[in-house]
Amino acid sequence: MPATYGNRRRQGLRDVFHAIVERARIWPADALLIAGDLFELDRVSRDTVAFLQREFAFLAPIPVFIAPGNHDPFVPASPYATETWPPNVHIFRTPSWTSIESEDIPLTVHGFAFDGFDISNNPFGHLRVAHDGRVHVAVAHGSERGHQPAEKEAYAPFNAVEAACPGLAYLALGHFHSATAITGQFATSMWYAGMPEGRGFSDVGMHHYLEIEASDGMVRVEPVASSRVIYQSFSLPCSGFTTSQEVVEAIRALPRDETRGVVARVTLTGTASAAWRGGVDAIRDAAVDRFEYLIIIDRTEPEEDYAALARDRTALGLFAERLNEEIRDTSDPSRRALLLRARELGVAAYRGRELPIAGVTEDAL
Amino acid sequence: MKIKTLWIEGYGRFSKCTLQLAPGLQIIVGPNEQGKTTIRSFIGDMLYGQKRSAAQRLYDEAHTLRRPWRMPHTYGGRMLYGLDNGQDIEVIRNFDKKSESVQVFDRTNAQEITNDFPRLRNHEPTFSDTHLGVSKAVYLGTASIGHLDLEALGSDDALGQIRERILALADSGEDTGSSEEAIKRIEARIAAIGKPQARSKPLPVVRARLQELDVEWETTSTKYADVSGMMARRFALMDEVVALRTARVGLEEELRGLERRAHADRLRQIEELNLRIGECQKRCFALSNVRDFPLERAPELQRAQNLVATARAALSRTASEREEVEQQLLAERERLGEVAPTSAQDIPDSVDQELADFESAVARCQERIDQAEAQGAVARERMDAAQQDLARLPDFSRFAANPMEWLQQLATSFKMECQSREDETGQLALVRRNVDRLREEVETPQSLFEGIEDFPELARTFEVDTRVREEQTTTLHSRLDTLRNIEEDYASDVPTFRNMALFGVLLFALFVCVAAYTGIMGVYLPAVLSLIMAIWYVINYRSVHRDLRRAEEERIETEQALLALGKSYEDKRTVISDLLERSGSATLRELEALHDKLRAGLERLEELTRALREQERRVEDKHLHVTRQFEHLQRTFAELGETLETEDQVAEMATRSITRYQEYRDAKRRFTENRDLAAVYESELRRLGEERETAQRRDVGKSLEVRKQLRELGFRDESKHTSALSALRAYRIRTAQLRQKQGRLEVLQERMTGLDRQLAIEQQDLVKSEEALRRQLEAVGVDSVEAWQALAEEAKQYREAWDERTRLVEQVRLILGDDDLEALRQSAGQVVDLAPVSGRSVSDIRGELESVSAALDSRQEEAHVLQIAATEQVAGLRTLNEIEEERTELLRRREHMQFELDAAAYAATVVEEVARDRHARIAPKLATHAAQYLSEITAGTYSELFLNREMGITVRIPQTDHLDDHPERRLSKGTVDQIYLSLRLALVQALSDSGERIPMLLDDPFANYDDGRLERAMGLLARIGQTDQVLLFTCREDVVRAAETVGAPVLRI
Repeated sequence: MPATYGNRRRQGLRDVFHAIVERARIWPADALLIAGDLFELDRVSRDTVAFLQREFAFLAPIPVFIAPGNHDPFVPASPYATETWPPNVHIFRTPSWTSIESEDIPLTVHGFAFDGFDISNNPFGHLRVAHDGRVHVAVAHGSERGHQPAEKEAYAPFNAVEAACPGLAYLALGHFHSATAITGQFATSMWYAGMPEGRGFSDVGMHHYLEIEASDGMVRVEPVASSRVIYQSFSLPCSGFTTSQEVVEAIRALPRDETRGVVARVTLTGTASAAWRGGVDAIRDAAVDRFEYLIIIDRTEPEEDYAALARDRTALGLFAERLNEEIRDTSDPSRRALLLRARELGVAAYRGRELPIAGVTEDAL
Repeated sequence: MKIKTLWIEGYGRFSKCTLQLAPGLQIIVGPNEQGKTTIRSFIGDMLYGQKRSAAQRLYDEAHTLRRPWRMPHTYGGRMLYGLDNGQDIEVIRNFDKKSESVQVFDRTNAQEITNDFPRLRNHEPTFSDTHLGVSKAVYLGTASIGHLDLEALGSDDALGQIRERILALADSGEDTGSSEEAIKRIEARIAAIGKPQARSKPLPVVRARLQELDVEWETTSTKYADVSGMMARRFALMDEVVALRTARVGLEEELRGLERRAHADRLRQIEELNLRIGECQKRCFALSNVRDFPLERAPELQRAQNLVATARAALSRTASEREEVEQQLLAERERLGEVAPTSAQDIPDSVDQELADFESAVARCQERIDQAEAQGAVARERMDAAQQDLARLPDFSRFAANPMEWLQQLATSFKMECQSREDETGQLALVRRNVDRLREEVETPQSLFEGIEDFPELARTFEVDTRVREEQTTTLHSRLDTLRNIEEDYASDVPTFRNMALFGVLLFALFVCVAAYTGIMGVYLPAVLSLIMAIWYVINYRSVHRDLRRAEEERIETEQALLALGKSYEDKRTVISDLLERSGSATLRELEALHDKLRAGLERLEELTRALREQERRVEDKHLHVTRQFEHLQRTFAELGETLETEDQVAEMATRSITRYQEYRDAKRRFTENRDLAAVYESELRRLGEERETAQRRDVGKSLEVRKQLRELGFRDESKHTSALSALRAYRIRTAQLRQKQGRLEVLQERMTGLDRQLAIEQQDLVKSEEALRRQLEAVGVDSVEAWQALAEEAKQYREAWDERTRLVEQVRLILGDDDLEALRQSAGQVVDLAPVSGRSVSDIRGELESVSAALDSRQEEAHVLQIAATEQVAGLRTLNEIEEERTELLRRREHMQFELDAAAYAATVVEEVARDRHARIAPKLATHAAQYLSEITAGTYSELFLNREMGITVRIPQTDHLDDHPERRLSKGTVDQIYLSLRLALVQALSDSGERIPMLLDDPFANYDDGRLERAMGLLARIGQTDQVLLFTCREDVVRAAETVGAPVLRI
């Protein structure tokens, strides 16, 4: 998507963060726990850092506990180290458990920090909590093995059983992008809050932040929907649509969350009539008003009977026959796509029909 | 395929209309707007339907246009056509959208075959594609032939337009869909995307932008990394700043203690200095008389004194030098004697260069003339050699514009003609074999049915008789059975009635006897009843007996009728049975099928016999045509100096002629080139001669002018030199020698004059210097330099004492600094309260303090600089996210465009390849057929028409007997039109050659024909009609008359 919309989305992320801070201030929360990946270290701008500083200052005196993760590790060049943060912000600095006791309430927060893009020493399993009558919570970043997708790389991997420890009421986890409760045969309550707002089509659906109440050994966790914009992917079979109007209406009728903005990616499949095939830009422009943003991927094939065409004893028939054979014989998907397009282009050229050129737009550069 | 019958239920203006069409040439005539186009459209729609495309179920515009004018619900009809294999197909269509249907029947085998054909995406069964081998577009494009309606008919590009149309029809079956056009469109698309060298097109622009973004990414990443480093460094610096501030506070405290101790020392030093100041004041008082002596003028006095001494020394040195030069001048004049003065005017140096240039120009021209003459001679020799070569070779230029192509075409054309003859001969043999085979096939059935004039009638009568006999026999048998049943019933009743009658009589007799014996009267009643019963049974007995006899008679009659019926049937059955037995058939149906087969075989035999005769005629024509062509080739090759004896030699002759043509072409090229070269050299020689003459003229003029000048300058020896340039050079040498002598004397004289001037100046300087010294001595009231120096010594002592005092006062002021002396005394009085000192001196501490302050300032400055640098570093930079988003978008676009580019390039390659193959295959066929047709239409005037691989049309022009690539300038509109018709007919033939014969629909194609050519064109169509169906739609009566002359049936609508 274009950079201008990217800027809008980045602002959207800030708005959601601000709303969470505002909620913590009004509630009021005893503490705000951030389990890492607050920002991308190699991308974070000074403006973002200034924004975070302002937000945290706005939240004072409510303490903020940050456990730097693999995307925002505590390294000498990190804004965590180089910038001055409001006094209510507590940033864990080392890859070993550190405890911070609140002076105002009986709360002790334990945490550690990634000291690089991968942690030098995995501290999971080494936390010990004193039985001193205080509420002990921990905030940490890592991959719980039971929920780790096989194709993804694990960071500070741990098993939930070893992460739990007697006396620890709640373990706030960060790394996975959606809200996930880690349950098992242990007393500690564990949750991944996930990201409060999706950032792309890998983060489809609603996102949350967690409101936690802990008292007298009881922990209540309430996931609160926080997404202002959600990402959704659709596949739309188009065979049988004779006009672009039908395609537009079908896109408008796609099931979506009406209460929030939707960034939709619609993949058109099946066969497309020559009457509207190639006019995807116009279709997008016509249907975009129902969405926060709309991306249309055209995977349709032309509605042409190439087998019938290949029976003609003409050069066009020979052309269609040859490409039909090549398409049939190839097993390489990219080669097949190329041949399909070449066949369509060749037939259109014989018939003097213009086809739009993908990638060339009116406002190009 | 032959379209036999059209039943139009409702279509346009037609309703309930039936048209029978001839299998060959059929003329359909009618005024305008009477439905000729509608009939053509009906045929097309019946074959292919009215769908817009093979993929869409939508109707094209014809659907609405052809809706019946009356009774719209009858929209549709039937069409019967026969395939080349004899199979009859009937198509029934309903075009009405609500009840749309299509049915295809095989009338030969009496079955529906609609579902035997695959269906297109628009649900149309592909029976027409299967039967004709072409799609709707190709059929409508190629089989429907109109007259040429080119706007620029007769213009220079008419054949080009014909070529493009033929190409388009051959390539795609559509008017504008040629492979060339397709490739142009694809190339335009590739250009629109942007080839690598195009800079302003989207793809190169995107690539360039991506490169810019890569650079921006690298730069931005580096800068952000730098900023991170800077911030880390700043963080460390701030730590250092805090440490340095702490150290500075400690040092300042220590310094303040030490300063109080230093105050006491300073007070003591000040008091000592005040004593020394008093002593200095006393010395100054003693020397106060020279207080104002201008001691500062001592350098000036010294300088004035030096100036006087210097002026005197210079004056003396110049006078001695002048004397020395004067002696040298006298000595030189004595040595050289008197020299004649040289002229002030001289010949400019450029004249030498000018003369040299003229001479070299003449020489250069001569050299080039020699070269040109030699080269010209070589060129003429080569030209002669080429001319000799040309003389022994035939003049190929008389034969064709491009003899090589012409020879190849001659050979190819002859080869194709031979091949065609062989094909036709082979076809003749095939037809003969078919005829023989068919004769054999029909021989047996023919002998079987020999003598039977009308077997179908016989069979029909036999069938009717059989059916009647069966019905009668059944009836008679039924009646017989009934009669037999009646007889049996009656036969069983007769004894009963007889016995019962006898029993009644016996009872009556018994009861009478009893009554008579007993006398009882009552017994007579049963006797009477018994009698009545006996009488009733007797009556019945008699009735039944009569009926029995009657039934017996009737049964006998029925049996006799049955026998008679069987006998008469047997008489008729004998003939059929005999046929069945002889044919080996089991049933009459089989016999009928055998007879039908015989009849079809005979018809086919007759048809084949006709075809055989036609084929024989065609073979004969072919032989004749080949012979004529061979004779033409013999004549042609004879003109080329070759003797052609057999047909097999044609290719060899053509190859040999091509070789000779290549020699001819090479000789001609050499002749032309060398002739041109010789002409060039001749022209060059003329030009160089003129150039040489001009240079010589200029050289002579200039030489005369120079010699005249030399004489005027007194150089008498000029006449001794052969060239003006050598005379001028001799003159220059002599003049240089004279100038050298004159120059030396002039130098010495000038030096003398200069020394005189210098002597006068130095004397004036000496007077001025002495005056200045005198004024300075008078200013202090002395008259000598020595007195001035004694006073200066005293003044120096005064000033030293005063300076000492001033220095001491300054030391006091420095020690006091900004402090007040009284405050210093008070401060010195508190020294006893101070803590012990650390051992370091104040300067050490100050030094350290300065060092710490400097380090502190340096760190703060560095931190500040880093802060500013970091801010400046990222100022105006986009975030990496923004760059990456733009880059991702551009990469996507580049990928799409590259994909489009690759696909288009591949499509163009494949189009080019298939077009090349297709054209190479179809062009010779088209050319052969079209040449025949054109020759036939034009009565042999235009007998040679060629198509090259690019389908370029070449026609031999009779007026020039040359093949012409652009003959349209010499051709009439009619001839161009006839070329077009010939090519269109040939195209249909070419399409038909590989499958079913395609029926042609001609729409008044004779707009520009004269009567003769119209008649011959009609003859051609009639001939084509012997194998192919030709439906000719016209509104012209002259066309009808021409058609009637060839016996073509005319259908008026």
